[in-house]
Amino acid sequence: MVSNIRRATLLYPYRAFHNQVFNEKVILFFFIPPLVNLLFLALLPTITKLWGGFFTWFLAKMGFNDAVGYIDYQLVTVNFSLPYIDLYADLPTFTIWWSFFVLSLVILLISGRVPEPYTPLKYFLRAFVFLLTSSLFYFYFFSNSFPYNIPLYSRDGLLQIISLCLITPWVFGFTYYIFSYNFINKIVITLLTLLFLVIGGALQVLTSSWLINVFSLIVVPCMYIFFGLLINVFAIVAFYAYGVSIEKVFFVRDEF
Amino acid sequence: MLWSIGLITFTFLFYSLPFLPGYIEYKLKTDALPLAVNVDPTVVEYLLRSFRAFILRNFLAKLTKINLDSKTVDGKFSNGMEYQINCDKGLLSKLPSVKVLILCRDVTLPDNTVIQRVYAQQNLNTGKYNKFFSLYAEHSLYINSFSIIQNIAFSGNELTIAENCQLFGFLKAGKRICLNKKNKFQCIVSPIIFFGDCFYSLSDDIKFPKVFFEQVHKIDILDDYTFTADKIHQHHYVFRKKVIIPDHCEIIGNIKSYDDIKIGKNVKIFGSIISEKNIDIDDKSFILGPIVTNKNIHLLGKDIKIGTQVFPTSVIANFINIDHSAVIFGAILARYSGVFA
Repeated sequence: MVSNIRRATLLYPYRAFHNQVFNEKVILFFFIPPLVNLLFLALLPTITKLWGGFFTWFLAKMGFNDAVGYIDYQLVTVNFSLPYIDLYADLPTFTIWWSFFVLSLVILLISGRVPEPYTPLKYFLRAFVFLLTSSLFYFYFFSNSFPYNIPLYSRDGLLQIISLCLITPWVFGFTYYIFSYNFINKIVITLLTLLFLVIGGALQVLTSSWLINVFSLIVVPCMYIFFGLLINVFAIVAFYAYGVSIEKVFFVRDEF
Repeated sequence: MLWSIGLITFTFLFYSLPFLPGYIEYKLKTDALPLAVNVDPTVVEYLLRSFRAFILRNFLAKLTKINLDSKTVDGKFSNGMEYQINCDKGLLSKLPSVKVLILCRDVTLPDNTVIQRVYAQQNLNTGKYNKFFSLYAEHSLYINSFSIIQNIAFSGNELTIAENCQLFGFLKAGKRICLNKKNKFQCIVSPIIFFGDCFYSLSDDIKFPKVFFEQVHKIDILDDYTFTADKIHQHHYVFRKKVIIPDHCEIIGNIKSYDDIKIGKNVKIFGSIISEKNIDIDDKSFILGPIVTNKNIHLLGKDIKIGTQVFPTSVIANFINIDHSAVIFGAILARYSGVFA
């Protein structure tokens, strides 16, 4: 009945009086980011090869044969062939343009009916509508001058993923390693984040490319802003949040 | 087409993975609650006694001597913690930057100060906007408005708390505690606890029934139930669903419910109330035994009385909301937070 009456021990103060514990030997942990970077660079040719193989196999299943191309890159001393998706994206037709116009109106109306506790969702939807409307405006007046296509989009997407994989250990170094969390947890969270970015990045690029192929270039701005870098950064923050909350590392503030 | 739908679905699910812990937290709000009070009054009692014994063992001779001289002495404990023994009478113009302040006369502390532990041999008045880790006064203790007590406040006699204080941890007084409005609290132990009206009449107008609990039978009720108003009921009750106790009811026996319990005006319950959910109590009701719930207790009405001077009791809930004046004899434990609005 009263199962959640806790077994009494000492009196703990309110959590607002807790301080995060800084690691005294923080400098020692800064060997992790360069090591993770080196590991990633060593695996990069294999990763890009796997990306290429995955794109080829999946696109063939979707009915697109020979739709993957490769472009050679050099990063520091690592040479690798970066795959890109060679699908054709059309300019929006009359039907697609008006469909998206109606869709933007519908989302705008829905955003007005979002209940107050979900206010962030309301702003997200309105930002999406704003972007979609600007895209509609652009393609109505200047559609022929749009510089992007699917090969460029997919290549840039994968380059973004590679950049994020190189930056993330350093971001964690300055914001996560400095606290006294378990060393193994730090390594695991960092590697999990990179693994997520490598797998998720490929899925994201492939999905976006297919959507652009189906719905024309009009969706490129939305894909780029909302389902590209932004969602990946959210994912990194989510992993970070998981890392810092998986174990409680704090002490009771001695001074107020 | 199947592969395309599969791709979108899989990508969506894969990108949902890192947000899953956040979503679970958003729904269950396990960390959004303040930390539950993890308190055993005996442990607190032990800590208080130890603190007092330590102070007296180490400083009694000094206190007497310094008190006679009316002067101030600074020193350090063996662990390096600084203390000051202050025997100036009246208002301290400025607090010293020590961690332990020992006062041997009636003192009013200045406003806007922060100090860890204060021990007062006499009465102690704190200033406004102060923060303390613990306060110990041998006689009366007055905590002024907008103060924050982080751990313990103890008074050997009367403890009065002004408005807008945040009282984390444990409050105890030897005689009585009086809380004014707009206070937040967690655990209070005192023979008498006044909420709001500190001059509430304690004259007992409650006539106790001459019935032994052993003679009262247990009744198990499966559906929602409303008692008959203006009547005396002599049973122990176990309710599986909601229960409403209307105005002017008198129940001699314990009540246990797996759902909400609503208690009307002028109800008298000579027994305990245990609920898995919320308990609402209205004007001028009296409950003799302990009130324990796994959720919230709302003392919505005026002049609610819980326990008596002869039979002190306890009120335990996750959240306790008190809207009007109430008197509780015994202890209150709000596992997460108690608010006297």
